[in-house]
Amino acid sequence: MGNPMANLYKTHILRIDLTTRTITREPTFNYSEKFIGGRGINAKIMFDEIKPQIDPLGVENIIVFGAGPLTGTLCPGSSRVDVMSKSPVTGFLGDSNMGGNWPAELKYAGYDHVVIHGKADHPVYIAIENEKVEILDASHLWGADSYLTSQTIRRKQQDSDVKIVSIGKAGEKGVSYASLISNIGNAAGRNGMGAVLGSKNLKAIAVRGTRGVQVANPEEFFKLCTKLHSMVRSASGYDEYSKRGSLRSMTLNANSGYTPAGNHQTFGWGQKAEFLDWWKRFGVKRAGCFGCPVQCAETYTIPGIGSGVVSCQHYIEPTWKLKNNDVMLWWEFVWNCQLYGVDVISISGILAWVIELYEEGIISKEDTDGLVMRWGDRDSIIKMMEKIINREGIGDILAKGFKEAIKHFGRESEHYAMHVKNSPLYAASPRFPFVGLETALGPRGDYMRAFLPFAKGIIRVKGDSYMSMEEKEKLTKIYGEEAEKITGTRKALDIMGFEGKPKGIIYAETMISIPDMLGVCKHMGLVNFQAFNPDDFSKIYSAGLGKKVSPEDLITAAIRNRNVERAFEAREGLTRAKDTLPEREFNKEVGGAYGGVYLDQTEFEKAKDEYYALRGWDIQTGIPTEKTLVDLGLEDIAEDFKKRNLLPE
Amino acid sequence: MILQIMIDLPKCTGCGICELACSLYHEKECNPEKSRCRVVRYEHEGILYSIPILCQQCEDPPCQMVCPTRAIQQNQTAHWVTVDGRRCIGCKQCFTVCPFGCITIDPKIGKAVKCNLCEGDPKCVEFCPSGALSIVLPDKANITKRRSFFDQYIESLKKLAPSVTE
Repeated sequence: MGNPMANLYKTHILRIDLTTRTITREPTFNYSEKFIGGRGINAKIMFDEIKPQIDPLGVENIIVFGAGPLTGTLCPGSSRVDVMSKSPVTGFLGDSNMGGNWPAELKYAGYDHVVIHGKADHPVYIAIENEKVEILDASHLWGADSYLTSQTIRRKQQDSDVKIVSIGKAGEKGVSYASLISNIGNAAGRNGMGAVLGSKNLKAIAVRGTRGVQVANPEEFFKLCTKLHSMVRSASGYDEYSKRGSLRSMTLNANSGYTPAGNHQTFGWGQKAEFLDWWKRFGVKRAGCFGCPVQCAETYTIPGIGSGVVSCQHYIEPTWKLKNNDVMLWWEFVWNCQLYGVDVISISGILAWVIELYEEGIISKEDTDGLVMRWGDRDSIIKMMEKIINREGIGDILAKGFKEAIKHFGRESEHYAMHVKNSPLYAASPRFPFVGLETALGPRGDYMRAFLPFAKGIIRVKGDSYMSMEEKEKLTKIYGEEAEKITGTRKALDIMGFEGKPKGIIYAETMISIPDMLGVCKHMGLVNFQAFNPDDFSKIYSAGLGKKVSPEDLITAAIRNRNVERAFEAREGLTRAKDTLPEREFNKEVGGAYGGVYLDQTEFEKAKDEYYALRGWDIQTGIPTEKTLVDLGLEDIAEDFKKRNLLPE
Repeated sequence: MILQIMIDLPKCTGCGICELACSLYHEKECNPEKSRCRVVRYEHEGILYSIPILCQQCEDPPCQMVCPTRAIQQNQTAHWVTVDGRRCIGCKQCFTVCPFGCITIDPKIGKAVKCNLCEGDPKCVEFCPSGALSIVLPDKANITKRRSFFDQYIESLKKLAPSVTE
């Protein structure tokens, strides 16, 4: 065993050039000395191989799938893949993370990463079976929904265990926020990864692997997994999540009042959609990713519409953003998203915007092809959605995202456009600093890349009606202590304050980057179950790798990863000015539970200063300084920046 | 004392943790293909249906009956069935006759491999998060089933005639 990376890593990065139809393999070892796993190596490949200012939907863009070193092992929640490409939504870094059983299968086939280059001249799909990699014709699959695609490919490959990610009609037609859908309903939704695949004429990637993942120290690894599994299973919230999944968080969010309703216009609007009842009536069974003890998703079969899997944002987005109480309509909506491959968060955001514009009289029936746009109305929502997916009439413009649509509707519509860097906002209001800062600083219009560990304290204490006063006090104390430990001040727990937030966000970014790099679900770590801390990650990673990797090493790797990502964005032209929020968040006009609550712009900018300074980035431009880059061992990036004159003074 | 792994079909979510635990424990690598306990999956319209299939530790094991070298033996007290690797000649007769497909052939040495209930402490059961796998004593196991049927029966009675039960 001469190769030190034979454990955990599968030794190969698979490169597929669709233009020339060539398939090459490269040792993962080239990267894995300095960068860790899925998100870490992905970001570096992106920086190295994407020329600045290319068209995200052009031939030159690449899309990288990266499974982490722990992916496919017994480590709980470890079937994750990180997908990166230059985003057609933002024009910056597109990054989306997906679970399911595809990522583990990729490892079993013998690959850590798959990099897709070029563009096929006709629709194709890629079939990977261990060392056999083929580019096959997919003309017959073009236009097929995700279920039919999986079914057809499985039949063709004559193997029912083939795992598939595919795009639907939305991705084929280049709806900029189209998603990738796995055969069991997981999606890499954000940032338009589906559109990139569509632009390459690539319908699907089917994987089958039988080779397993080797670990250096099996006994030790097994022991650690036993411990981690029992930690996850005894964590608070595990029972709720594994029995009722995200239905519970649905209620929690609703009560906490930090979920905005409509086009981020208000908080609370008389949400009455009864999902628990729905689950009792139509629920089939629990579902989730391979190797995960939580199984946080629900499956439903609804007679007359169809069956599928939903979780988390599926519940919240269409309900709150579109103020919809009709559960049947909700199902039709999420089911369409799944079948045709479109990001449920983005399309809800776009539709909410159109409805508000219509209400405000900025656009009229003529602009919407004769559709009357109303909240929670089937005709408005489903018909407009179909127009977007098929790119008919006005749908063609809305499919291109906010930037193009604002050009079409006129300047006046811009005030209502709720996006960050063109990416529609997540249904969590950025007018709370802990959400807002990360939403502004992150690449995706959401805060799922830096969920504060003590944010749960903020949300729960405010809104969990299941909880008694004593419990709330106890939680405030626990989370207060945690906040103090991380940021040095208990005030960080204050929902509206900025104090301690930048430091907290940096901590959270690191803590989310670590599982993303290792290929573990971030919910296992600080986001939800708080089962893993860097120490646990370091132990299990070391036991698998056969080489000591300390928690500090992981933290440094995570910081390095954030800097590579930021460097990529900076080279694409991201500056401080773009790290901002829609102007509505700085205004008082919102009603509901938090009526009158808004972000103070000066304070907000000050917090950004603090964040950049802590990160070692230039305060004026938000670009990493030479010293920061060199200290992290990123001399090549510093060199590249010097050539391009990007380095801050 | 006869030990039995009971499979509660509706509870299985197909997560495959049993496969990973088994393969890591016995084969020292994470590979479902090398697990003695296999999850059979079937997807339909986006929903994954799954059944864990593992050795049933038969009372009259066909694998033992056909084994020409007596490599397959039944434990006297707890009745689990094991393969003695030293005696196994790799004739694969057991593989042919097992009605559940639970005898696997080690691709490296060509000999039979099967579940031995981890000598009474099965790892698949220990790790199964959904409760689809549980280790039971057959005489006790039925009590749970009878109970749950009883609960269902009462529920349906309540619906039929609320006054009867209240």
